[in-house]
Amino acid sequence: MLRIVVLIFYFYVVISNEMTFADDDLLFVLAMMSLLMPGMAIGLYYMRAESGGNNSLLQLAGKAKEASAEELAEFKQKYLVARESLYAAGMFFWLSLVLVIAKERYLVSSNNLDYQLTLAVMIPAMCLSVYEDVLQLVLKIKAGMRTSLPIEYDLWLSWFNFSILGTLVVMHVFPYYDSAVGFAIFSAVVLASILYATGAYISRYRKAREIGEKA
Amino acid sequence: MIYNIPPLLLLALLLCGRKSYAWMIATALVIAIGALVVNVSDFDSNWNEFLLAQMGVFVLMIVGSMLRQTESGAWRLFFRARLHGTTDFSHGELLELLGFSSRFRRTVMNVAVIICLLTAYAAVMVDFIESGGSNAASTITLLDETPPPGYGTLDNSGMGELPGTVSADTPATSVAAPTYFRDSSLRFPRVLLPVFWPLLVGLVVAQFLLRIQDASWFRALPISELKRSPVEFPSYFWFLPVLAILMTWSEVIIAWLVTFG
Repeated sequence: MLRIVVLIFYFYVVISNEMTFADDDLLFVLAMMSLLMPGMAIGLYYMRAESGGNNSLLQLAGKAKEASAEELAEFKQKYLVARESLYAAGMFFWLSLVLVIAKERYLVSSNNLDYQLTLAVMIPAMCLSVYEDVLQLVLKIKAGMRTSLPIEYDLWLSWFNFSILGTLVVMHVFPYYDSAVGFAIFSAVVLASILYATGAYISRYRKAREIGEKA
Repeated sequence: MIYNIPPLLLLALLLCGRKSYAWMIATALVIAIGALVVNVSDFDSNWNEFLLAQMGVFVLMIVGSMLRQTESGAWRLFFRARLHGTTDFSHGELLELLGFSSRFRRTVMNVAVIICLLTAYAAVMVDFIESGGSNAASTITLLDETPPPGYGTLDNSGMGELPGTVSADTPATSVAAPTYFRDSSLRFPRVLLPVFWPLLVGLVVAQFLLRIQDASWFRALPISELKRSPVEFPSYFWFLPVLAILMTWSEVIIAWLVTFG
């Protein structure tokens, strides 16, 4: 839900503030990297020893309804490896993008670089969130929508999405030439961290308490 | 041509995903995609010396850390596996090698992050000193990328002054433009390359090179024994996008802190 809100709000802020990137080439690079990211993730996954075995991740998801504890553990292991591969591809995408943006030819032609850079560095994380959701959806469909799979969202990626949301709110509220916007973004990231950490702690505490009561 | 290779390799991988040589196709796919992504970047060769020095420190830190953390037997196993493979390894030796390999990857990523943060810190300090945020009279530059003191100050002495008496019939003449017009956007991002280069290399080494060994070395081990710690990619990596945002806005943040601090 948070990821969908971030994605929608991102496009809303970009459109409503009439933000554009300095160069069409940058959009091409972004589109290329977004398309290549799943391919790289698949490659990284198959480079791992954990991808081997008699059953693939999808086959294990298909058997999840009547799976033994060992098969479920194997599924969880493979899912974590697949997610790690996706994250590695995302990090490669993000680092390459930062380097590409840092090139002078993308900087000199713009007078609102900070906004562009801040907006651009969010894209890999949002692509990653979308691809992870797609992966989970495919596994869920394969397993059956009512079947519970032993998969969870990554805490840090969720926190980062929350921080992105705070940054977007600041960028939407302040005009880009406002001198206070830098500090406001910094404050938004810190505030998002504190709020998210508090929420995660309360949620974990409640969960642990529920389990404790049942036990 | 280069655009056709990744789809072909991806197709081959999806068709041969269950074969024992799938990891080779996967490696080729990752390298092809990496080359394609890097191909769109055309980095400045002025950074070579700095990046080479960073890589030297990178290697020294990894070797030093690994020598401190591991025993000589694990190193012997590692070199034996490199030379002859792991077909004649016992189960215990495979497990020991698995632990060594896992620790190796973790060390590579940790060292990459440490060098990245150190470089970022140095860049922030240089920027802070050169931008006039500090009273320290410094001639520090980061590979000449930071302009010398005085560059960043806006010369607005000519503003508001019009040439001579102005009347309706006065022909329009250009007012002298300030000597330097500071564009705060142009300075800091240039140092992003040395800041993030160690991370990119760490990612490549840890993911692309060491994983290749895993796939062939540990095929004999069942999935349950391949569980290693940490299984997931280091979570703290997600601090780095935030670091990039902070670096982008560092001048404004530092200026605010100096004003109100």
